Amino acid sequence: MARGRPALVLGGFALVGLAIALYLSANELAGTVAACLPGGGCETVAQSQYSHWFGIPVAYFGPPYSALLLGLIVAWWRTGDGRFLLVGYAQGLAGVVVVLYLRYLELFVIHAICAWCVAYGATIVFGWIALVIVQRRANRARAAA
Amino acid sequence: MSTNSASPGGRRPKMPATPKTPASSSTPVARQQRREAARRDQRLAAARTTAPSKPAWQSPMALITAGALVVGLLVVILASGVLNPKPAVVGNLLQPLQPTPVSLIDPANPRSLGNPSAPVKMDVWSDFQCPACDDFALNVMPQVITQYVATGKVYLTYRDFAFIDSGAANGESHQAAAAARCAGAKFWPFHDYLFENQSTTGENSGKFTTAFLASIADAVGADRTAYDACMANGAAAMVAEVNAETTQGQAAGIHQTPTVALDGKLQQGGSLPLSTLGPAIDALIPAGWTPAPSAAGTSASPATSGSPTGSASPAASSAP
Repeated sequence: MARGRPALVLGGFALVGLAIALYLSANELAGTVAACLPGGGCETVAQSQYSHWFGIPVAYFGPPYSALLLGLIVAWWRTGDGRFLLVGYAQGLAGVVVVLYLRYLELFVIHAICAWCVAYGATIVFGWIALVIVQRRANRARAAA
Repeated sequence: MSTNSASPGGRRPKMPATPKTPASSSTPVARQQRREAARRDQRLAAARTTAPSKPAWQSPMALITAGALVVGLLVVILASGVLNPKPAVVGNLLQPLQPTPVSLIDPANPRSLGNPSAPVKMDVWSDFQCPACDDFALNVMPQVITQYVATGKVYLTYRDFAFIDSGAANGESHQAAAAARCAGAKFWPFHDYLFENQSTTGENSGKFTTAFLASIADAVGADRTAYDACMANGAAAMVAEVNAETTQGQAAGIHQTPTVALDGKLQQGGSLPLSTLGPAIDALIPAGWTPAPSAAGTSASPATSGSPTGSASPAASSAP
């Protein structure tokens, strides 16, 4: 199976995700003040108890996650070794579970939607679906060979 | 019986029709290729029929999927904090997980903690509806109290900066602040209950009703007669004090909550972690300073955080 185009699609999702994750992390680094301001501003703070995991801002988990996924896709593209796709599949599935949890928090607990977080979550979910499709095709091609 | 199947006469089965060319139909190489193909087909067919197939759930893909789901769920469980200690629920109230040690309350000013002659004066400007103040009160202040107030280094005072209800006298920020003042000597226990029970559905959502505030007064053991008298008519006198202090904060340059002031100097950054606040406090402690052997109003023992004591005198809360 030709890997160029599938790798481009998967890499595209991972790359967009990495860009968004870096943007969110940069915002976090710039110091989003945990404070309430007159005229609004508490909405974002209301997320404070969910915006840190184990004392680390959630935004900081995005770049390593996306970078690892991108690395796996590049490795698969270069070598054709299906194990890279398999690891990417597992990582993506775990990511999808976490993304679903975060969307649940936004919709039903925090009652606020973070557009950038939704966009990042979309790259993870759709990237994973694309990866599943690519993996199935690769498996079929291998079986036919 | 199909005409293509092996006939009883021992004839060879018919092979798939292939274009007959002089070069390919009869050469040994072509025959060998056909034989090999037939053997491969037989092996594959035998493997399909005889190999013990594992159940689908034992396939590597299923195991990897299950593993990934478990990892994802584990992250969610750890991140959701369901394993963290939870405050006990009594009636309709969550009991504070880390109550302020009542032994540190300054009898002369129930809204202050520690030794009045401590080298550093720390003011915490706050709104009881502010989620960031909640974070500061529940996560940072207990550390400050243990490490700096109980050790005699800091004299901490709570200041009202009630603005989230847009200045409405009957708004939840004002009524909660007034109720805490009306609790008199029980201000700090009241403070702890307010933040532990802050609304999780946003500001001005109707959580801090008169009845709810009264239930806190009961929980902290405030003198209900004095409390009710203080809260009568919308707690007008206390609301006026809250407004006066908020105005004082605005004049001092406060524009967000929480805001911490150390020796009057505002520390920007909202809910500052102890890693930021600690060094700022340390820098203000004179070199060679040692705590006084017996500090008035301070036992320097954070362990004594049992049931609050002291008279509930609303009047005592008027001093900032």
